[in-house]
Amino acid sequence: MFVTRSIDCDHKDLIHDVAYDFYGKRLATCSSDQSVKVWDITPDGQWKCTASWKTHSGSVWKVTWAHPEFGQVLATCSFDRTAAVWEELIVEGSSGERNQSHWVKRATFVDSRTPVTDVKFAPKHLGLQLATCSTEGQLRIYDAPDIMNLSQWPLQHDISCRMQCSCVTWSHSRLHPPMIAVGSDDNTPAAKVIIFEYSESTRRWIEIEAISFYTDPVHDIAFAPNVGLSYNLLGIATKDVRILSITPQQVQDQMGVNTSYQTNQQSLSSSSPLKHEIKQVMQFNDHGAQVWRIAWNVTGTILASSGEDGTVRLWKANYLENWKCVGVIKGDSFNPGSNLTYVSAIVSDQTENENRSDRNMNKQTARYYRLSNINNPNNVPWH
Amino acid sequence: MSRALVSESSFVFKEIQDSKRSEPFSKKDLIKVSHKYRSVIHAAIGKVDARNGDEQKLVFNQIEIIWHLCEILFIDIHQTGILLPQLLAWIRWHHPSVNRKTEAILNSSTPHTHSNYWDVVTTFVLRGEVENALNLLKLHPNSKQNEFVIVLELLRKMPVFGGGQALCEYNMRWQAWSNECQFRFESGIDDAHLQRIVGLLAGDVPTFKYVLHLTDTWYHLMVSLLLYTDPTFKEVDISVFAQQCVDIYLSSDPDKELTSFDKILIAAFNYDLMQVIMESSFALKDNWWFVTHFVDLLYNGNLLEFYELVEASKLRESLILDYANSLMSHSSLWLIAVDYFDACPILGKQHLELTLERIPIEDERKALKIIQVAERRNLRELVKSVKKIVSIKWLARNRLGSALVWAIRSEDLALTTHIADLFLKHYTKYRKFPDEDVLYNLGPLMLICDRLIFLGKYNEFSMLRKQCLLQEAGEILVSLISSKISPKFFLPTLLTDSIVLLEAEKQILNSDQTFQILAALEDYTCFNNSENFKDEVDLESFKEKEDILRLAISRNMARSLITL
Repeated sequence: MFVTRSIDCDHKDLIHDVAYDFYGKRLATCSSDQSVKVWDITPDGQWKCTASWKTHSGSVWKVTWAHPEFGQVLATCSFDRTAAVWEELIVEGSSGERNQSHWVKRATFVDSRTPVTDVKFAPKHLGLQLATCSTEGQLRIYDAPDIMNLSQWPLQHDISCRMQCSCVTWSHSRLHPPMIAVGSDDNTPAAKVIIFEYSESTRRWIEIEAISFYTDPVHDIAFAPNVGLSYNLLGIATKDVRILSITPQQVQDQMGVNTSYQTNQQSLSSSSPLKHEIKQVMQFNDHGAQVWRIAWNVTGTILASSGEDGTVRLWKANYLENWKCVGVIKGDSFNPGSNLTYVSAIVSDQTENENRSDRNMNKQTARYYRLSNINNPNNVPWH
Repeated sequence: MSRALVSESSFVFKEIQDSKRSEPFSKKDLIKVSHKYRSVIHAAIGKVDARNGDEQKLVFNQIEIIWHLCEILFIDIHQTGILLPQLLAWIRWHHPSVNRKTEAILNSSTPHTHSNYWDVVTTFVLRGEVENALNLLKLHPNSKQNEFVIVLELLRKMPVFGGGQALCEYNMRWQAWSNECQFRFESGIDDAHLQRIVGLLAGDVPTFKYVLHLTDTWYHLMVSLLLYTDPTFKEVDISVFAQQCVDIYLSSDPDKELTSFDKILIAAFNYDLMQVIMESSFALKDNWWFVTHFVDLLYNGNLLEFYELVEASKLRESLILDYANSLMSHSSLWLIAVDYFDACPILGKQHLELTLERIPIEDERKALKIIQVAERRNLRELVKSVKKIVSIKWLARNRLGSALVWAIRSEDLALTTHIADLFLKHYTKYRKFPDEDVLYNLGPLMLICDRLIFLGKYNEFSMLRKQCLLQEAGEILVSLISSKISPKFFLPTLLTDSIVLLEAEKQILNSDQTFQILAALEDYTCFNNSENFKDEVDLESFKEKEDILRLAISRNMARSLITL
């Protein structure tokens, strides 16, 4: 059952990103009006704006939350060529209730000479690290060595991707070396997804794969949450929805037959990271149009995608690992008081998505969809 | 979802998992557990909340019917292969409304004129409850008349299977009886009601169609029809019967359509277990309660393999995971979900970790609950993380004492050191510690990091000083100064503290100790001169104290030399 509600969020221009915090109890929105707003859910399930402030001097493309272990921390990136880290200061009122909170800028990243298109915190087992990517094609990784001091973020790595970057994602796996995937939305016929792996011995990020069979613009990219699987799943939003599985090969396999997608020669010679077997596990064109954003649920079992067709679609694999669309949420047809019932008691932190595709409508309304998997999102997971 | 259903069924579920033996469950055990589940759902129907009850009641009722049928078809299989007695019991159990009507009739002064009289008699006949039908018919004033006597006799003579009877013998007796019924039916009886009853006994399909309103569902019709046409039918034939009755039922009223509930029952009568699972997980609005528990039950009796489902263990696990994940997202049912994750050998622990860390930590009680769950399953990372988050939350509210306690529990050195520093900085400003009792009760916990040892020792010093135990206080202070574990920003405070001891009326510090203080002072001023110390104001105020300190040092030095 889907619960669709609109929040009138009073942004003065297009909303580009909506981000849930770790627990799904807070939201951050960012907009071309150069501001970020933070929303807290009240006990009766209403979203209330608790902060709104100007963050950049250009459109804010992305907003993202750090793990709560690091406090209440946001990162933003903007057309103004910078990225920034923000921390909340709690001012407890006399009633003890959280009213308006205050967000302080802790750091600004000015290394990019072109707009910064995405910013993502590393999974927490890697400490407090931040990856940014920009239209000039640079992937930059910053590291705060002292997690109590959010103003020190030395630039650790500055990596060229040779393409106009649009999105970046960290692998969550603790079993494998750190991994980052970068996507590009430029219109050249070159590879659009590059995967990097961190080599402990050389202390460098090494390009392990440029996925040459993807040449359509990529708008969003996301590794699935993963704690114990031997492989990583990578969701990709391009002209359709795709999922890749990335499996590190055993060492002895390197001697064997080459994998078909092996393209990256030069990095192998020097430090020889493990080879990876990269397979496409699903590709669906149900949107019939460009897919703008994707998001995983917390267990990495459901992928949500939003497309130019004005829908959010949910994808799930059955127990034999066949993927299938298990739900469609139509953004345009939403109509308060229609046949959707609101289940306030059961809110799930499953997944969220925003209609970035609605470029010419609802300028001041952030739409969010909270999937509660209470009732049958897995229409026939057996097929 | 109903809380009663979720929590009560979780006990049964856990019982199954806990009683894991080397051998799969025997049929007897399976039936016992299946009955338990059914009584849980039956009880849950009674507890349905009145506010949004109707829909939920309907769903629970459907689940009860499905479960019962599946139990008959897939678990509680009779050796003889004869299903009818169980199916009749199934129909009677789930269509209890006739009992109420009977009561109304019996309470009236002239039962036979009651508008429901013949309907109820017919219903009893349809359900094979011959005794009840007989008793009602005897209440009729005409029951001594010839026609009545014939019908009563037929009913009384109806053969019942059971009690060590041989199947073929029963078949013969039944055939003879049925022939007699047919003969009577064809000869005709004047009373229309009685003729109809005989028609049912004779298995005359048009008669059944005529009383279709009394068998309100196709499966009721099917069981009644089988009762009077082929009571010893075999399992293999039942799917054909089911389809025939569905057709009769649908053709009776063009508005009728098969619901997804009907489809589940049809799948069950087809003995297509996979189809039952698919239809149920698709159609029932029960959060996969039914499929999860039923499939797990079959799995534990090795019945999934028996019914040739591929990758049975994966199927079971994926269902349990979906169910558990849905519980996990509920603010108060999440603890129940944990048992379900535990029952998943492949991915249970991973999913538990991923969802458990997302449980919002509103207060310490919740944090402790999460930690307890995580500790029992050896999720160390998660335990540390939760403790750290609680500490950070207290820190954001400037509650240093609680923050420190949780930081120590999390064993995170950087965080603990940071908070200990905040304590010390607070002291330099206000000359007292916040949350002193926390420091006082640190005990051996302080050993986890240097800064904490320093903090604890310094607190001990200030306590002793307060109690005017200057000798002991002096020893601690000097050891703190000489050990060089003090953070730089706190040295001025330490040194200033020593003035009181140096200037004490009675000599407290000996020459050696005095010298230690002097050495530390020299180091400190030296350090200040070499580096650009940021905190100018602090430095200024210390400059004045430095002179006093130097004077005190020299005076105490002199005093100690004399006493030597």
